[in-house]
Amino acid sequence: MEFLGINIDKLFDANDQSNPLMWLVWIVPIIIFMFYGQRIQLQITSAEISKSLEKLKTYKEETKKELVEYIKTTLKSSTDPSQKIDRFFEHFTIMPVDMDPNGIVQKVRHIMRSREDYSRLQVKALSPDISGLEASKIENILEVATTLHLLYKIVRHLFLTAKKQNNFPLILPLQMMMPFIMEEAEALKTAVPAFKQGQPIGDGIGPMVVGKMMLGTEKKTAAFETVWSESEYEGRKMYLMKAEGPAATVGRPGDALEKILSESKPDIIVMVDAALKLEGEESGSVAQGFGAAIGGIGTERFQIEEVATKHKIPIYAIVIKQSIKEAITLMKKEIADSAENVTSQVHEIIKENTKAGQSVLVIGVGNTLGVSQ
Amino acid sequence: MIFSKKQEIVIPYSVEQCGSCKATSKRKFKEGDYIFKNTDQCSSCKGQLSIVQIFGETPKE
Repeated sequence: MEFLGINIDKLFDANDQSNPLMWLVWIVPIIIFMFYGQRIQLQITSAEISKSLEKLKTYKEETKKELVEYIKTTLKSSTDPSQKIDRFFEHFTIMPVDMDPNGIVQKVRHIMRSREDYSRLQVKALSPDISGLEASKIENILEVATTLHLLYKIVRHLFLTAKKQNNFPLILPLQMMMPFIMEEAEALKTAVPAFKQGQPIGDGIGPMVVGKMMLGTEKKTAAFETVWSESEYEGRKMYLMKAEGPAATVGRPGDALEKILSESKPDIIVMVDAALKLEGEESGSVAQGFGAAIGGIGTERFQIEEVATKHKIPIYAIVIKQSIKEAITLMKKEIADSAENVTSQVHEIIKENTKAGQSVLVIGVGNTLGVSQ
Repeated sequence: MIFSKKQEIVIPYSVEQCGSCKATSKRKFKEGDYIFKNTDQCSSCKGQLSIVQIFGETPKE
């Protein structure tokens, strides 16, 4: 075939080793990829991350909008709280120095509690007539919005730094982490409607189990936003403790345990909590173990472990498996249905490890939003 | 897109149980509902109904 006097068949003849054009077709891309391969990959990865970053920005903005709307409708306020919220988003927490770790838990607890108290005051300042339940819901939505804001800022920082430096290896860890970050961001965004409507979340399964045991008993305050009561099971005295529902709070189980122990000493402690499942595990499946089943930054767990060790009280744990999304969004049926199984396992532990006349402390750990007692 | 995830629709339900005849009924979640809240009287035995479960379910297609 001839075109403009050039024989095209001859020009692209792959069998002809001496053809300079064919040689170029092979060698040029190799040279390009050798010198610019990383840059090309950087462009492709950047485009992917940029899309996720945009999504993250939308989540952050939508959540903030929802929060502002919720505050306006709930508090019937005519003033726009956006400015106050924007200022709150930029708040930071400086963790204590850990060069000398002695006494660091108390320091962390002090800082975290000061921060919680400040957030509570800020929410209360929005309206003096706000109920405790509404304030707790706003605090939780504010926490979600702040976390999304922080996630967006961190991802944007890493992304822009890698692009600025034109550094491909710098963007690789971000590319690997992006699916996990997006999963968490999606979970946080989906959590907002449940918080707004006061619906129980997956993490509330522990308080739900213990709340049922507490029905018909006299509830006393054990610590801030934490209640306890006494009951009986097959000759054993039961002390039951959970965060005070139906507000969106986890209470202060560490302080509450100290208070209960100052009045009476249980022979065993049983903690019921939600736990993150491994991929492939069924949501709502129940497992038993030992040790303090409680999440968070670690200060509550430290306090519970310390008190239990001092009094030589064994701690038994029952966990209900769920994903991060299930833990912070409206409780799934599989998780709600596991409550009966958990209750029978609590009773089993009590019967196996105590005798009639002894006493047990059962703690329902988790956010008790939408779960009374 | 081929691999884009479908937006999952979850409908919240409340399950009420009668304290005396233990009959249960499932209805859509209403704002103000919470677990162990006493609601209406049981239509069959006039016992006290209370919410025993609140959960989300994805409607079957």
